[in-house]
Amino acid sequence: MNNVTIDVKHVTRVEGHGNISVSVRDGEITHLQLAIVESPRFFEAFLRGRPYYEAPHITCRICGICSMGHTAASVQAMEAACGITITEQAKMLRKLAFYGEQLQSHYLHVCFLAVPDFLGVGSVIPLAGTHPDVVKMALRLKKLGNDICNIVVGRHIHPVAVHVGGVTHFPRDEELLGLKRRLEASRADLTVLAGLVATLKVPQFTRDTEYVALKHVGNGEYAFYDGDIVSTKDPKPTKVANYRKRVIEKVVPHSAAKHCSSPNAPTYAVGSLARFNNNFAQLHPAAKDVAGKLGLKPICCNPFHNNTAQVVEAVHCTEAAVEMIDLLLIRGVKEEPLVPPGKFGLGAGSSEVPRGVLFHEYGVDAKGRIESSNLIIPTGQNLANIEADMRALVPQLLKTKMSKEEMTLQLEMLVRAYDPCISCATHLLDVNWED
Amino acid sequence: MPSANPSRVLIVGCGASLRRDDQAGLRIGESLAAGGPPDGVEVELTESPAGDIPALLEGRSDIGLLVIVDAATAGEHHPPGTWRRFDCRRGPCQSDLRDGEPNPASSGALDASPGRKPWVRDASTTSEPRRGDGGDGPYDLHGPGVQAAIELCTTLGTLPAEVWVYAVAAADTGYGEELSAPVAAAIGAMTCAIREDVRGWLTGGRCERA
Repeated sequence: MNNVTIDVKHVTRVEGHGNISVSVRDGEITHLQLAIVESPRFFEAFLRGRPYYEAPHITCRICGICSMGHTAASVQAMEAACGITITEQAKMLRKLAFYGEQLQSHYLHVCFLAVPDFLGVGSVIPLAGTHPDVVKMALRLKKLGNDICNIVVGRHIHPVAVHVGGVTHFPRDEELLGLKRRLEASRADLTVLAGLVATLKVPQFTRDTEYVALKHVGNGEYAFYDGDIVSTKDPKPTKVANYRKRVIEKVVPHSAAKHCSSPNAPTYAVGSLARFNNNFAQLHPAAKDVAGKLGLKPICCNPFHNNTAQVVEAVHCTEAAVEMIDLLLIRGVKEEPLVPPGKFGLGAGSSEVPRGVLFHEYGVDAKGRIESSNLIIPTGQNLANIEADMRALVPQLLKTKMSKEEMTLQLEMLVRAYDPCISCATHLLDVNWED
Repeated sequence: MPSANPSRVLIVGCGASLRRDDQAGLRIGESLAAGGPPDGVEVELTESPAGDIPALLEGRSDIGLLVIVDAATAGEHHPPGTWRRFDCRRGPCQSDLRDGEPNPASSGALDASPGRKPWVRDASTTSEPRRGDGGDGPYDLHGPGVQAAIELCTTLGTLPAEVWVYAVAAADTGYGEELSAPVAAAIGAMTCAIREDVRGWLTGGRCERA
């Protein structure tokens, strides 16, 4: 097939609106875009002038899936700006909620958004007919993740108990024990899920890619809540305060979300596979075991295996959450006041949200009001890399003589594999649109 | 496997807390939960019913009655604040929500006159997926609502034997925290009616709302 035109409006089973358009003439790609057509969100603009303590509660509304992640990055940035060091207990409770969010998001993506492609159905509704046990399992697992957030930080989306300076909700022992029992019981479902994923025929495609993620240097923890910036091409850690040295943003005409590059590559990837590739040694042994059974090894440069890495991370988060609950129970959860600001200034924070590394940065004036902000969203960092993958994948697909419909599906699956959250990513300002 | 005695009631208040009248289901749910619901009754609130309702019902074969409370857009014959109950197991409730024709088998505050303009349409869903609709169609993950929840539960076989949907006609689902006056006025009556209907179901089985 020498001439192909693919025009997908909109890509389905992703959050937000994005279009794939590809033109091939005489075997050469003449046009290829992942166009982001979602309206800009303007969060950075309307944060200006708001009191410092409102930042996490406003920015968590960027997303209904990774709202705990936005909250975590936001409070860390603001605590850096305000000279606040939170208590160990507050950090532990935030991390526990974070595990819950990772779980619910990964289950949502793997089971409801990605798996239908591999099982040959169009959405979760027909999947419920063909594979009801898979859907029921996914509902159970996702609800567990939601309930962890609900019990620990007050809501399963848009947490109300995480504030600048600490947390204001303290789960009871019996609540934590209940979660622990459910997490332990979920291991059986996870085993089934891993078994299902092992049977899926993952497209064979690799492209040399830089994978960027946070990493804990020293304590051996698989980085989710915080860490330093590393990559597979530059493993030397960079402090989050210096994130602009690792992330270079630019505006492109066809996208309402900025594209990103790094000093090492014109595009890079973030997300589960990036974390897996950078932090494999820090995974829980049970997660490493599942990775082995799924044939996933670092450094994997097949973006379709982001789905696989999400399953591996789900195992890790399950075990890490159980261990965190045990620690909290041993210590005993006690009520604590919020730590007040010691100063106002500039601060950056970062967390590994389900779709990858997320950066928040705020400048706060002497009266405690936000005067500047910068938010860099994982999907925004992935967009250029997805396009680069598509440029490499299309010629490979052309060689297979597959139909246009099959090619379209492969490209949609590629986009979906990144688990993009397009609505989160569209927030840029000062774009001059040209007719 | 169905429970030998599916005798419990799950009430789910649906809506969006910052979209004015669309929070009606949440407000009613809060009222029903205030002070603790009666024995055998659980009340949940959700802003994403398509995912939450199937999750709430998974593994819950002890639920015999599901009550869903939500706001809906209405046709011109039914002014804001008008409300009624649809009995999803006695008629084509999904079609009612999707296509707008009231369920003839249901009873409630309004009559169902064949041929009349549709008055209820689930604002968050459309009947068939379309590509490139340029708006928040079914390809928007925020789009699926109560209809999708019922559809999914039906497919999974987890829908309880009885499902009642209480819908109130909204006047304004724009941004804001205040309810419109007619919807605010309807909430008390709806809350009382749901409480009474559920009590009737718990004590004697069916409740024929007139």
